[in-house]
Amino acid sequence: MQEYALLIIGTALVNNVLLVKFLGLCPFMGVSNKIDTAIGMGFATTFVLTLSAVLSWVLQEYVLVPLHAEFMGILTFILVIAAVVQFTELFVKKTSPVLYQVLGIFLPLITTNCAVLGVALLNIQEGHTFVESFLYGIGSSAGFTLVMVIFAGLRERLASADVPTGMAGAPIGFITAGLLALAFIGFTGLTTVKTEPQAESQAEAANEHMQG
Amino acid sequence: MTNVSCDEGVRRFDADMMTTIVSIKAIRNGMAIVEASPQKACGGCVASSGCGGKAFSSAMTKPLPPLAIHNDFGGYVGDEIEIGIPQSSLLKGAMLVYLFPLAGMLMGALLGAEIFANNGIELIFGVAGLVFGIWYARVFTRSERFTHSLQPVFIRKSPRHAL
Repeated sequence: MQEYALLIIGTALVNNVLLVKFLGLCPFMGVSNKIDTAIGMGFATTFVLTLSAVLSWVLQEYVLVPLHAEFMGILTFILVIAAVVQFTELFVKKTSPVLYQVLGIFLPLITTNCAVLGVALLNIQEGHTFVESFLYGIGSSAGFTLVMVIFAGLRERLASADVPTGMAGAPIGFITAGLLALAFIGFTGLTTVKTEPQAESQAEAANEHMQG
Repeated sequence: MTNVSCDEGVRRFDADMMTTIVSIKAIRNGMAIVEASPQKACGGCVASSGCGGKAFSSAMTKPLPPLAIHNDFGGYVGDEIEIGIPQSSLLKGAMLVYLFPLAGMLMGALLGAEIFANNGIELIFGVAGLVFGIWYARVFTRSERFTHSLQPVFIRKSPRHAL
């Protein structure tokens, strides 16, 4: 269970999909004006991103690898994402037609961006198992939502701040995003916490082997 | 609808409301039938014509079905009005439909991993959890109380209309 928790923390904070891998920057700059929109968008992205990561893993593991068709990966994953987006819309519509109407008016229903494809590809590259793929998707989208909400909060404050005319709007937004990315570099230390005990145990094992 | 009071044609605006501007397409049985374009997750940059995400989003986006709102504000066909919904209701709804199925899938997958530690079994347990989560979200979101909390309310006539 500990490795699962570390996987979520690692993907959400240390290797944040937005501020470290720079994926999904369109909604980061475009839809992060209000905190509530950012939260709703984060929920929708969590659903699409996690399901896409899991389904891509299933297809890779049970279809592409047995058929030696790994070169079809990107094309297959794009189709998977399109299918998941359609499924999400259909699922919300069938679950609650009223909610579908209201969600569509106030929040984006179609949520897809390069982060969705990026996480699916990175997940395959990392060679995860099924549960790890799922947690990788959950962690990535948790990190995405967290940064969207923080940035939306900062932009709400900036809207009422006395920003110099030449810096107002996008420029101050980019500077804030840069500072936020720098702040997230501080989480890099968490990977040391993760790897140090392993490195120590490996060094100890190597020493014992040498002595033996 | 009960917590709304009228003040010179402008309803009480709650700061915790999500708002949007819609246009009235028809008036039927005291209800204003309004239409709104679906929100898009992108469109904030100038590269929209050359962006794959924008093309994907445009191809997938379908028009939303019309929405009925009590026309006790005296609206006419063609009016643009601002409507709102409590953000807590909307976010609760979004959480129910998006996060509950995933939570079910997570529980199922972890249970499968604990008992069998086999990818295929974990997948089956995960799918079972997902189906359970979808069923639960369906039951909860169809309850009358929850559906009632999702009814948008009129806030004011659009400033554009006033001009």
